[in-house]
Amino acid sequence: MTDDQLIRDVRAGSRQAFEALFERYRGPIWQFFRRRIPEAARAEELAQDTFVALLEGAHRYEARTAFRAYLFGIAYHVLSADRRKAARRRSDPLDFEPASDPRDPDAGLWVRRALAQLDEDDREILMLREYNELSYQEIAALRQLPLNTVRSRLFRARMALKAALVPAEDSVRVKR
Amino acid sequence: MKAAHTLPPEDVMAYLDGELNGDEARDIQAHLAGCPECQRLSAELREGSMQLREWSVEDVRLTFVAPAPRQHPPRRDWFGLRVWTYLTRRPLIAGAFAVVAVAIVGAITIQPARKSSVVTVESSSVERLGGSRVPRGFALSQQAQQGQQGQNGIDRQSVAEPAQIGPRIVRTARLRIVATDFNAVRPAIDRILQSSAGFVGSITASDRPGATRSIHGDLRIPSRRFDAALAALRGLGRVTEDSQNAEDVTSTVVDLDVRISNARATEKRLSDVLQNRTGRLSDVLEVEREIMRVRTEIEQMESQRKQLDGRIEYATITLEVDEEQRASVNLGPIPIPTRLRQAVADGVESAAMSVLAVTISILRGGPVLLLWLAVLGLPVWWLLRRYAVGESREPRV
Repeated sequence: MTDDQLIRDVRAGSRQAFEALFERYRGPIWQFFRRRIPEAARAEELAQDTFVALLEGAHRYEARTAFRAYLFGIAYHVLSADRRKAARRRSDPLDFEPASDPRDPDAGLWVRRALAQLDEDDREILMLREYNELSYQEIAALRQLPLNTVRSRLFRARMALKAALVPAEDSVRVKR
Repeated sequence: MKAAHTLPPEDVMAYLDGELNGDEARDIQAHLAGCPECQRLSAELREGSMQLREWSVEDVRLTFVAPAPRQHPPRRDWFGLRVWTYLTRRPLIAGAFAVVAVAIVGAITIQPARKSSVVTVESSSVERLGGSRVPRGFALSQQAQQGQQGQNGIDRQSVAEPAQIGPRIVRTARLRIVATDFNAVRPAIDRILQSSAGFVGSITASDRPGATRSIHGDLRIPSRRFDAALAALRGLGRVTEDSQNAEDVTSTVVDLDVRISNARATEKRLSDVLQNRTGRLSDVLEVEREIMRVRTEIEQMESQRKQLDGRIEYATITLEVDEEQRASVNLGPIPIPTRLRQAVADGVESAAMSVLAVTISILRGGPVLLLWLAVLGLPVWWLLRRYAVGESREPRV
């Protein structure tokens, strides 16, 4: 069944349809938060929140965009709200601290460091594209930006990443 | 190939990302085949994407059936979610749960309503009797016991704990008294207030030279002691004005309680929304503004409620006490010349008044007198003349 068919069934009250969607997207949503939140437990909570919001707001879903973009839109809003709360608490670090795989903490270390050097907006657009595979149009809708702005920022981010990756990659490889 | 370099590099990126339609993609593909620079860009972009893939995260461990409670939102929300999840999976249990819940709620709401109606009648009868007599069949209720205590004196406990049920009455009275012994009034007022557990709302004592002394004030008396205090105040002197008013504010109290309860529920829902929902910053600010508005409303209504409770618990007696004026003024013996002058003045005034009275009488009766004189005078004059002519024609003997 397609995502649209499943979400329509969820709107009709089908628990099985929701579980199917959850099973289909729990990985991508988990990764979405895990790459942006240093603490795994908090990332898990926010992922939970995303699915809770999906469940509660299923009746408001309209098939104007792809379900995938709709779901990542919810996740993005959950993340933004959490960051606002963190800013108010002033206790959580506001800087970008990407998570690492505890099984191999060095995996992608230079990538994480290079991403951390990017402009925040550019980095977010790049990550939405590369890791969450959203289209330019979907990113534009999510970030409320013109399509051309998304395209130019994405290109700028990729070029900046390339520049940041070359020396960092070399240094890490030398250490190894 | 120089013309090929006019191709924006973003187009190459968009082509690699699959963002171009068929024609555009074909054009870029054709261009790439002959442009080493764009081929290099394409390779760099592909390599960048590949490098990004090297950052992996641990496997997903997300389960939805038993989500972990959040730190900041209240745990009961998650509990509610689990209950909801459980019930939606078991419609029969959910239905049974709903029936039991409705029955419990119905029992809770109906039972107090019955009690309330009974006590309302009893309380009304006490209210009519001024709280000083206990109606029949009321001895078992706490309110009746309080009423019995009130027969013999002030019951401070009942004053401190006003009836929580029954009609809500705001009682006021206005008392105007003329006191012969004004010096004893103020101490008497203090004694009445003390025995009634009341207090002075405001009071003004006036003692200006050449004027009668007076005391004006608002006395706040516990409603249960209202009648006793009023009777005691009437004993301060001669009552020249005595009025009472009883305003039933039961519906106002009930309405206020319902509005406060609803506003609190709204505030809680909004707080839950703020904690658990996500949205745009403008939405969050809007919710926060709404919470502030509702909280302000609640505070205002609670203030009104307290004010109303105060008016219900304590009746207001507006008291005006004036000192009785003396019946005559002793001016001492009047000197003889003064008495003579007064006699002359009185005589002249009497004469003038007499002349004035005659004049007024003439003016008032003159026209009528002339009329009758004309009507009766002419026949009389004619008869007299005829008699006089007849006498003169008789022969002399």
